Amino acid sequence: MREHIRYYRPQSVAEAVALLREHSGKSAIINGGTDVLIDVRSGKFTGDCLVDISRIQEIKGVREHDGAIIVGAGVTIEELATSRILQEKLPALALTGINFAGRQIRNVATIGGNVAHASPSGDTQTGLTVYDAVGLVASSEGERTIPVCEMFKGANKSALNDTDLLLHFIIRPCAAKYQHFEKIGRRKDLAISRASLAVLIDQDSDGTINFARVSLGACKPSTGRMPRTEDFLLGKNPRLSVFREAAKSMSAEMIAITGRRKSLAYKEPAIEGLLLRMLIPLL
Amino acid sequence: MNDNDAQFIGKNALHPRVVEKALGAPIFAADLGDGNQLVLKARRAGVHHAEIVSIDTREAEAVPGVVRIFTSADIPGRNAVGIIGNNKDWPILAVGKVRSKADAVALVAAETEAAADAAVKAIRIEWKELPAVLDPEAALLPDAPKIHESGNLLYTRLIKKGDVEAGFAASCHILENEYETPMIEHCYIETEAGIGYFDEDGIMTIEVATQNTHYDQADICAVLDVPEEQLRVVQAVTGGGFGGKLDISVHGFIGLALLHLRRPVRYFYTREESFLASGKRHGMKLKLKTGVDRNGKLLAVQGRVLSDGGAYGSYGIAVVTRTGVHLTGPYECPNVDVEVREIYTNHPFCCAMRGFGTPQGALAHESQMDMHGQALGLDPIEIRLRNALVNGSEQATGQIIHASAGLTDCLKALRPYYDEAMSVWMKEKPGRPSRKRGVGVGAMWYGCGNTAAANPAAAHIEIDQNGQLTLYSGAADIGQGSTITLLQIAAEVLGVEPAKFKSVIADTKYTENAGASSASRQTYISGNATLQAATLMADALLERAGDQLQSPKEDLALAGGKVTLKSNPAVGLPLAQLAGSMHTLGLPMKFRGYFDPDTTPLDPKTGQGCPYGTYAFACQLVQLEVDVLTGEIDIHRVVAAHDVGRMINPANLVGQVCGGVAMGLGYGILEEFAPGVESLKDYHICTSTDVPEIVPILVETPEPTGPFGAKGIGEPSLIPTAPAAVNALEMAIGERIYALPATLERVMEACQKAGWFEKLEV
Repeated sequence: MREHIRYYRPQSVAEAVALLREHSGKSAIINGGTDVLIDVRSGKFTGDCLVDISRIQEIKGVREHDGAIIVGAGVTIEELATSRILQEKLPALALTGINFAGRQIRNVATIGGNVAHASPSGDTQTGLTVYDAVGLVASSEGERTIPVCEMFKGANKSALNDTDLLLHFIIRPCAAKYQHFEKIGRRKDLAISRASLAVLIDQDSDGTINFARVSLGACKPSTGRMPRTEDFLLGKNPRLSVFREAAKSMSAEMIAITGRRKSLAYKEPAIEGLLLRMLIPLL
Repeated sequence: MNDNDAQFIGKNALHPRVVEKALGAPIFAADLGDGNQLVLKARRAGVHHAEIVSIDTREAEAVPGVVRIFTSADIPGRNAVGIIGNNKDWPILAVGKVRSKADAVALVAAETEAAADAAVKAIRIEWKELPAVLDPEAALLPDAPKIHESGNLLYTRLIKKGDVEAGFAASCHILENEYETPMIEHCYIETEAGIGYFDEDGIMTIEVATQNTHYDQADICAVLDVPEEQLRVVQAVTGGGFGGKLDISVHGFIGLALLHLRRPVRYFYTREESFLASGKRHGMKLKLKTGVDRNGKLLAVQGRVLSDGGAYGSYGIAVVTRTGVHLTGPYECPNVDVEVREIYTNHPFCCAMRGFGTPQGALAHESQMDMHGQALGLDPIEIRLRNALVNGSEQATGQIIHASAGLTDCLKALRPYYDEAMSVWMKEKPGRPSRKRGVGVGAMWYGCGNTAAANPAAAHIEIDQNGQLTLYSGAADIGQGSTITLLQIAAEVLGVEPAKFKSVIADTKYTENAGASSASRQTYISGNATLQAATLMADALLERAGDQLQSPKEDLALAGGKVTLKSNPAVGLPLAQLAGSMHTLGLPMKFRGYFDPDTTPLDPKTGQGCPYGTYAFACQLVQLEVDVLTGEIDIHRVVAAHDVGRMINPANLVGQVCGGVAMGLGYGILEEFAPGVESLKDYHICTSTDVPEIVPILVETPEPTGPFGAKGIGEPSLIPTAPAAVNALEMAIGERIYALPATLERVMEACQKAGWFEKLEV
């Protein structure tokens, strides 16, 4: 089956975009290959050509530009985890790379691939959405920006077209003092997230929470912020009882989206516990 | 011989093929052959339980590259295999009906992998689906669909001693609980694999990853209706077995294709096919009632166990027998009443897996032991010390354990680690407030060898006229290191370094039956056979040397490849010279050793008898942290004290202990063969990051009937780990988990029950 798949390795965005238009409906973009090659082997990929974007320099690297951080779609998860700029300016995003899959996968998998695959459990999505990241996408029609939170139509369903090439993410650093990400997996390495959570919290000098962002992953069809939980936290003073309430508020917000499912028996208390545990350092 | 004299026993020596393995050399079955072999692939049922209405292979036969498609009609002999007794209940290719999703219905032989895959898909099967029986309790209901003609109850093992009711009446603390353990997958690194060819003598040969070539040969000969001299089975270098390579897998298909096509063939399971078609560890439901007196001494053990055997018997009868025999735990108990039943269901067939039914029982008896200790204010080591089997103890089947009852020594070895963990580690503050610490102990005993059955091994040692020594043993080395262990035993007797020996292992053409590499039996049983062969060889060499040197035998010693005079070590004869003269004189050059442990059958109604020649003992300590808000477990350390009788190869033993602990942790907290599991992507075993520091402690209590005092280690290493982890979880959470594995879900549930979300303080 694999012998029927054509393989292209464009050197530039323009070349890639042209190839994607030419093979529209039958192609897949491949970079690290940690998702695509599994689909090829299992037969889930039914197209006839792969466009390998791993040699395109324009989509690589992390840089600062005009007060924003630009993270190339071709940045590997290992680069994400170890980038000095990200560790300093967007720590909750850098943390998503720390125990993402296993070492071999981190070395080749990319942030662009993680987002484009639209898995509800994609860890980088949690870190990107908490910062309200925006993606820059190129196609034969030109370039356009899309907020990351609008890139998912549902579980494993990307809102991007198959002629779109994700170039990079534009992320405004946040001044919040507390920026954190954690995930729960079945084991320490090579485990798909059962839940992931990113939080950005800032406080007044008297401790009152004046800024709160919470993004929840792996618990609903699409990763994204939890506005009711954020609203709940705003204006509150850190107390254990308040954080317990915030945790309950978040699980209610999740259940409002997902309805009551079997997996909730674990996920409901687990995300409550996860948020509570992540907020405890603010006490 | 005393310890200080040993030259090779108790010392490390390299496995014969370890360097090739470390370098990734192509030595496994999937690497063999010239690449021109036909590819074999089975069409599997995909339905739990169904009658086969018709099989249409026409479309599949038309696939370019397809050579032949076989169905059960092509099997000339007995289309049924199975290792235990006469329970041959498993067809190579289904006849009339299928009993599990994995049942093979047809076999494709094709020129290429792609053609084989395409043909497998093109076989049309018309089914009449039957109701599936997926629960062992439901399988026993009077109106349950019959999976086999004989009914769904395969076997019942009873162990009865004393009067349990009187025992409970005299008890001051009684506990009755239900436990549940899952089916799990072996996950050996190498999937089932083998090749078939005609050897240099034109004999049909199956070279296969296996734990028992001689069993394979016997069952496949019956299937093919050929005499044993027309089928050779050779063990390929085998990448792990854990019991899962004791059953017929690719062998039957390879034999069938060889017989009909007379062409070299190969069959390797993908990981997905291995998950689907290989045997699993038996899932069990255990009810255990135990009573202790006010000193914590066990007075009564009553157990009722249902074992889900899946669609075919495999080792099931032996597994439940072992569950029953070991269900008291490694403790004295005067009153025992145990019933273990092996049930057919439409699940994948269950087979031997590291521990043979003992790990399931250990969850129950070790949980009970901890709870009794807590009730009486005895720490987990103390209550186990009070109950431990010791030399002279009578166990549940009435056998007296005369020697090498090493549990007390293991518990004493663990004591300082336990005390330190409790007094120092438990007092430290974990990194975050939601993390709680726990320390747990688990103990076990394990009979080395097949249960209450003759299970002999033979071994041969040969010397050629140039003095080259060769060991012939049927004991399959599946990575555990049996070959080097046997060589060290021979080396010690003959005074020749292990590396100087040649070895011929597990090849029905050259080696005699040594039984399975299972039941932690080869060090003890093939070790004794090798010891005897080496001793006979040594006698012959010494006799010859005595004649040549004109010295009494008592003054002769074998060392450094020579026979020397004890009175004058400068005088010696090299083995090459002795062998040359033996050859010239026409003296025997090859010697056979044999050993069968002293056992008696168990009475069918009471289970009384002597099931094993010797027992291994162990206890382990698990230290862990639980995040009580999320259910995540972080194993901190495992200390594993194992009574090995006498160390033959310490590095090998440490390897077995560490591997067993890693696998035992998986059993304890991760692994479950649940519906929908297809491969390692959705079946979680421990990764290197999940395995903590392991402190192996090797305890020596020489077994008088063991070679140099040695006993088995392979399975014991896994058995105490999961119970110790569960006991540690109880300490951390304050609630007990009764079902394995202690997944995120189960741990979270226990944490909720304990009310941690509400009561956590910072």
